[in-house]
Amino acid sequence: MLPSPVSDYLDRLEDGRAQPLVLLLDARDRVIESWGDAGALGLPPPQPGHAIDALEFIADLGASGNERLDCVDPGTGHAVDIHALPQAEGHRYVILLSAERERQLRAQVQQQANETRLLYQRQQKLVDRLVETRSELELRRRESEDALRVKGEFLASVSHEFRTPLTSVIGYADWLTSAMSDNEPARRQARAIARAGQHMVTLVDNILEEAKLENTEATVNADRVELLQLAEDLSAIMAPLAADKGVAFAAFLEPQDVPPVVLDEMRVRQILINLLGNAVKFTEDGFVQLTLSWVNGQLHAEVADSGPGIAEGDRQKIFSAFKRLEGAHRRGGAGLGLHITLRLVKLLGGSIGLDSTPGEGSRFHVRLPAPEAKEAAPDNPGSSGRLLIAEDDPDVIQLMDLFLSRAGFTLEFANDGREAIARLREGQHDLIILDLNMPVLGGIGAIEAIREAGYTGPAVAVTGATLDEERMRAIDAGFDAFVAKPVRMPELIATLRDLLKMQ
Amino acid sequence: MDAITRKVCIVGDFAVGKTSTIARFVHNVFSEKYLTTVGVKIDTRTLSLADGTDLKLVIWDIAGTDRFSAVEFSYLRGATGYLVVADGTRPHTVDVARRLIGEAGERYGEVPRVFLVNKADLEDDWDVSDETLAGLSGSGEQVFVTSAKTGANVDEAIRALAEMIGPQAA
Ligand SMILES: Nc1nc2c(ncn2[C@@H]2O[C@H](COP(=O)(O)OP(=O)(O)OP(=O)(O)O)[C@@H](O)[C@H]2O)c(=O)[nH]1
Ligand SMILES: [Mg+2]
Repeated sequence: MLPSPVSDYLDRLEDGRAQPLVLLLDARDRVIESWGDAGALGLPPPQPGHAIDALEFIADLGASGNERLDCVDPGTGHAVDIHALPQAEGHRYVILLSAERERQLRAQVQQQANETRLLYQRQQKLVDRLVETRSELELRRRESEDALRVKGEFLASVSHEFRTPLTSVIGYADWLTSAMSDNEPARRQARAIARAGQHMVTLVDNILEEAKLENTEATVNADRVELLQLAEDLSAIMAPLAADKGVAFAAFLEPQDVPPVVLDEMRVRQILINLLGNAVKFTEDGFVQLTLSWVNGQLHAEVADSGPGIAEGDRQKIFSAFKRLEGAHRRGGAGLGLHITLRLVKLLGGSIGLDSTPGEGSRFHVRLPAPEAKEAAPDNPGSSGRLLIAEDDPDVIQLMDLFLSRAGFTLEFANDGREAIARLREGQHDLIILDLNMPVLGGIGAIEAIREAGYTGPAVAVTGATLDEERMRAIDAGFDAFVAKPVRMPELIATLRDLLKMQ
Repeated sequence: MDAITRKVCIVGDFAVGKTSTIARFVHNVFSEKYLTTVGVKIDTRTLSLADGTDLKLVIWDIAGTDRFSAVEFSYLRGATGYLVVADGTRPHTVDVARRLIGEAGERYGEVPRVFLVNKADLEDDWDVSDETLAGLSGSGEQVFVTSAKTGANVDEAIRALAEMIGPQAA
């Protein structure tokens, strides 16, 4: 029989659990009396007059009114609910009810819930990491794009560094050649210098073009091109190279009386120089031949050689992966040129093909859109006009002096942009030529000031930088035309004549 | 002379390693298997403090939760110290631990405590930044980066709490 405060309490609790362990403890937690089976709760049998060690933790239970603790494992492995009923003189009843069944039920649910949440959190973390990795990759990609741009700018500035001195090398060589009679032995050396210079320009152009293509900032220029002139120029460059190797070179234009066409001249030259250069490089004897023809508004160019030829498998490689051929690799240098050639053809909206019989030779054929140019070329031998030229490079000044005076222009020179502005105020000028890269005041700043001051005549920018961006900037600033270094004097003269004619 | 007894509660989110930490501290064992604690489990261990006195810690290992309910508050009553545990591979358990500290403080006032960021052995999976740890220290927490698995810093953390609540401090 349980003491009545306890049974009353349990009745009020309406807890159906049987067999509570009830302890009556004194003020120092020593057992006075006990009811029920301690062993069933994993506890030692209560010894009257002694405290129960395992229940030490309930020392202050009940101190502030009725209190209970649910689901406590006192270290016995058996969970109990504990209720305390304070009595007089610091005594209290302590009621322990087994909570083991309840604990096991809750444990199952809680275990499953927690494991599911852990799994979910782990998955969430993986997803987060994936997202993080993705954005990191994105960042890397942007960084590498930046790196590519920096590389492009670096290459552009390197090519600038090369182009400026090449202007003088080629210009002087051209001048020497034209100043000397055919039977002067030095004439051959002068031509060799011009060729070597031109070859360097090609290399530099290839590198620069590569950078541009990577940056996808390449835009197509529409130049007015005389195909006969193009064939002759290419011949002038390639024939001596072929002759050096004992290889015959010939260039043909069919038909001879083709009208001027619209093409990106520099890029077409580059395509053909690359193809011809490769042909000459790989052909040990026999011939290299260029045939240009104009068919239905298209330029057909064929570069044929009697070299070793290219095996079927390698042909595929050339057009798929732009891979360097094994043999080419040993000889060096063909990879970049061919690579750029293919990309340039694509840029110009053309197509390229290759026939080859190993042991007999190869034939590259290129087709490029080349509509007829609207106006006929002006035949304008003599020139006149007062030119103001601002240029800080003494070599270039001397070259311009040579060529432009000979072409009939009257020249006045300034060393920088500021001097150009001052001279422009003093005299009458029909056209100004400004180097973009000058000390004190560069061409862009100068043209802006000059336009501001009311000058409406034509203005030509000269620069070693060939980025289209730079061109655009020059045109935006108020220039009418743009000439790249190394300045080919015939081109410059043609540009000047065109501009003056439009006045 | 009998050792002085102190009630200490170990609290934190589920599965942060409360039970493992106590198992390491009391029995020097560890199990990889997760067996969630239901209700509360009581363990004891007696320590010798720096001044030579013995202190018997009665440690209440409370089921993990992110919010105390009436039942957990009943467990916390009368505690003289808290072991607050977070899981270094689950950063939000640090926030949960902070919130639990706040809730306990509102109910029972400030009680000495140490902050354990557990599972230090899981380096690859570690996700609590040094800034977060510094932030905890900066806000006055005594922080221990622990591992119940290797035992690293477990004794140190609990001893630090014991020193705070020993007879000298009381
Ligand atoms: N690697 C590693 N695992 C740990 C560590 N501490 C605990 N664990 C594991 O984490 C899981 C949870 O540990 P418990 O100690 O049961 O966590 P708890 O905080 O008591 O969990 P609840 O009782 O559910 O609140 C178990 O699988 C442990 O083996 C640790 O320091 N390192
Ligand atoms: Mg636990």
